[in-house]
Amino acid sequence: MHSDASTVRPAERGEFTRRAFENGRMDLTSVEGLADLISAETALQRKQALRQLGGEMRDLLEGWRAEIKSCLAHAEAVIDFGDDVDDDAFEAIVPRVSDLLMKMKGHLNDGHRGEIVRGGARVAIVGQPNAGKSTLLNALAQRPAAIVSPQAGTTRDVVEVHLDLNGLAVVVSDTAGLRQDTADPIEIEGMKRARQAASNADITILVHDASQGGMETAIESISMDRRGSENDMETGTHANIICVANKIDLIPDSFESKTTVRDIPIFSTSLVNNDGLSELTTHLENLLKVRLEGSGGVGKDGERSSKAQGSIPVITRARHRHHMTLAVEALSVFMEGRTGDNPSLYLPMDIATEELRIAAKEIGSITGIIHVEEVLDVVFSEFCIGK
Amino acid sequence: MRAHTTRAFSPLYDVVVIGGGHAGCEAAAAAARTGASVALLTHNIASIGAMSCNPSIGGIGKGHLVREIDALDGVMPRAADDAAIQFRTLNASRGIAVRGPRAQCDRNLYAKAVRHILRSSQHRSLTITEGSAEKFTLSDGRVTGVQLASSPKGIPADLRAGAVMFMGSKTEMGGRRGDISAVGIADALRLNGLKLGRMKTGTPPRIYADSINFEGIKEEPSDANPVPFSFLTEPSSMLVGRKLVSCFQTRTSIATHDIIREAMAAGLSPEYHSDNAPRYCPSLEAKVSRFGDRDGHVVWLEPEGLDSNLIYPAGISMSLPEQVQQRVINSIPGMKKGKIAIPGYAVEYDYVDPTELRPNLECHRLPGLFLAGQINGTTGYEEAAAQGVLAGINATMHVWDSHPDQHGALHGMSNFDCLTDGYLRLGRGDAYIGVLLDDLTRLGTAEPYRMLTSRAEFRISLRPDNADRRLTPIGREVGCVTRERWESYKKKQRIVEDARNVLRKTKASRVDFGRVGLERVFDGCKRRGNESMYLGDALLRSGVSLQAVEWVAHLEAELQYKPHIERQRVEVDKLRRDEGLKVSKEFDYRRVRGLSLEDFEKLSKEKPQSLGEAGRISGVTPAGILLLRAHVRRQLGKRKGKRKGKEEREVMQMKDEKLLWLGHV
Repeated sequence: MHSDASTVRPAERGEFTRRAFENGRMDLTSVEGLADLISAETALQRKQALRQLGGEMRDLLEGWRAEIKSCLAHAEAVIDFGDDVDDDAFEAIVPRVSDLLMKMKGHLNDGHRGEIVRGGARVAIVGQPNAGKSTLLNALAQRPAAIVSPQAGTTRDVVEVHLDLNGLAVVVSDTAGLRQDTADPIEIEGMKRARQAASNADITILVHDASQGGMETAIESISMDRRGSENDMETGTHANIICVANKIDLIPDSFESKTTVRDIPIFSTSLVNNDGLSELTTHLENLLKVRLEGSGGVGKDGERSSKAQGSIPVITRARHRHHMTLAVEALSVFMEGRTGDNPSLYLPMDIATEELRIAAKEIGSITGIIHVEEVLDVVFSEFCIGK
Repeated sequence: MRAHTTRAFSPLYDVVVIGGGHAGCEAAAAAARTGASVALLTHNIASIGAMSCNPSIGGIGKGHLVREIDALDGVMPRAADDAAIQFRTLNASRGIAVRGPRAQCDRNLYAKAVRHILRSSQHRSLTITEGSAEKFTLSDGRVTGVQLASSPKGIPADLRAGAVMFMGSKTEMGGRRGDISAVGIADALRLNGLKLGRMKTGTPPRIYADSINFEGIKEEPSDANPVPFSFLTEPSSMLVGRKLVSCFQTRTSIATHDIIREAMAAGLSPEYHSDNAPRYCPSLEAKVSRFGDRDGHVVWLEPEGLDSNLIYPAGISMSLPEQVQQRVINSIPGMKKGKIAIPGYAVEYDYVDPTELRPNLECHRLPGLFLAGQINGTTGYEEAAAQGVLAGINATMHVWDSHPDQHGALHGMSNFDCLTDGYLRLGRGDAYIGVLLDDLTRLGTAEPYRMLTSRAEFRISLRPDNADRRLTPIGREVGCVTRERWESYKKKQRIVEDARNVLRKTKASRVDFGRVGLERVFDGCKRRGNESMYLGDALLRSGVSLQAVEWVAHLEAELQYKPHIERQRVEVDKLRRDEGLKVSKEFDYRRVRGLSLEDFEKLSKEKPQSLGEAGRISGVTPAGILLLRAHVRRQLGKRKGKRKGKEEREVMQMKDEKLLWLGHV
């Protein structure tokens, strides 16, 4: 045996995984699952990564692709061997495509659970200046992550902190305080970013100084900011807002505080004294669990939510969602083009078949079975995987 | 030997092509058009242009190839347009990108057309000669020529060439298994380590047409508006002086299948070493054993020519004993009394694993040798011809490349990506020819390779209608496209561009679209109110075609009838002016000479005040109005003439002189 040093070299980053992929031992989703497993920080992330590494997602996607390929084969047969295969074979695939389209749409409509688990749930803390937002952040982080001072407007930009909230990855953003009467361009920009963070977040925590009043107006305004947010499609806006009535130590005990406003729960706290924090944290955790595990069912569509739990593999990356959306679009065009009362308005077979080809290609791009060179480089350079 | 080697530096021909089948003809012609001096070696000049199997060109996927061959100025498309006796566009309703132009051809006319084109001035550097190649001449591992069995007139037996193209091993009609020289060459290929394989193909029995009863079986007449293969063939000329025939469609019956099964069970099927028969064109035996449950398979009865009494029954190639074939034929509707003229048979042949070839069709192991056609494992005239064109161009570029001093290499100087490697490398995104070459040279083939549209990933872009746009500029750069075609191509592109601009820039409103029943082009559009849409965009909506857009028909009519429209416009303008011509109430219609009594009575009674009013009186004839008009104008002219008559007469005189003068030049 040659043990000559010139024939031996250390493997490069991710080289073994790359070889496993190139030799068909792993598909791209498994490779990504492995990368996710290595970088997993929370229990839920590990669980999800393991399932993806185990091929759950690949099996699902390859099942879909096999179905499209089978439909495609029928369509191609009609086109290339029209003498032997008549148009009925083409019509016969329409209901199959329809069924598949329904299934795929169902998966796309998953409330971004997988992506949230993988990337961390985004929680934005907003509110008026000096309400105690940074104090809440520090309390959640259990360390002084943000500078706190009695001065209004201490936080000017968005401060992000990654937390493991009882097994859930959470990215908490502390934001600049919102107020009307300022002309400081830096503060105005900070407020713009705060609003953006609130509308992008999975959950928005409104911190309000209970001693100041005007809480209902503040809640109203936050609801407005989140209106139309994609994150609220399934659950409704109110389910994703938590209100914190802070500084209760400054108001008289006799003050009767509300526990909800317009279905939005209100937690009374005195953050400087750690009062009420554990109730708030528990609620946040529960809210996130429901969102991430799909269990229970917060929204009106309870049936779908309970069905979506557990065994079904979820979309874990924007890349998956991107390709899956394109595939769904292609199949939708196919369906629109080949159904209806007037066959003279149908898409010609060559164009309709092209949509099936696109759908198969897009799904193939997720698993990396076809047309992957461009995504390969990204995947293998992004991660240090699998020596 | 030394003397031979030195002579090799100035070979008699740039390119020698062995084999005169479809690949050989296209290769020799393409090389000649590209500028090479070419010798085409064939056993029998009379067999050039022979269609050894079915008498048709084109079809789905294959039609695409033929259009592409034409875009590179090849032989097959023009020959097929010339020799066609029935046209059909397959898949006409299934989408523009998958339409397959197909023509039934008269065998004799086709061969004649091919020979005519090969002898035309665009191929003047091509010499066709009878002879058979024995073996290759090798020098430093390169193929530098061929040794001939005997020396044809004016050609040395030791034929040196810059490049050699081998298109032999063609299975000929009559069941000859290749031929002696091809066997020798195949040995040469094997000796040089090329991987060879065996394939099998078959042909159906030919039937006497007058023994078939065509009554009661489905007739497939020629398309009313045939689409030519060649971009140079004027579609309107396609039917001029052309005799057309019909094809017929019948089916095998359950009785047919029983006969086949019985014969196969009795071991009457000949044995073959290879199972590599085409899946896409199976023998009747294969159809029956694979799809026994079907009650019948389509059989096309295709006439072999205008003066031929033979029918080619496509779909039932078989190799059973003749008596069995006779029973099979007689079990098919329409052929109860059908008589076999030539029985069907199957043949096996050698092919070179095409992964032995570079993408320019040159052998890796034998540089200087190019292979194209059936030898590469393909089936079909069109597939062979397509490879031939590419091999011809590439062999020529190979010769140029090895003598850049004489020719100037094309290396890296081209605007086209597909030419930057020093040979023409058509890719999968360029052409079906590119798909064909890529599939063959990269993946190889285990069964006779046939072109299908499903093989093309970019099917929507690689359409028969744009083959010229995709390939003719490349062909022009390579030099294989004649000036005539180039001019015609440019002219067409200008017309297309103009029309495209009209469609892009002409907007029509919802009301306009509604008038032609196309209101729904706005369905699903977000715009409201004063909606309008470019005609080009309306075409994106399903169910809209150019034929349905009224304005396109309008445009066509306007351009086509332009001279007549111009002429009529002048008359219409005149008429408009005349409408206002005044007629006195007291006008005496007796003064109008030639007015019919009926017109006279009506006009006298109604007393119109203008020529327009006169025209609207019911019953007054147009001739009457014209006469009245002439009279009124004459009166008007007389009055004006009194004022400036002299002046006008002088001007007129000068004009006439100028015209006379001009007329003499």
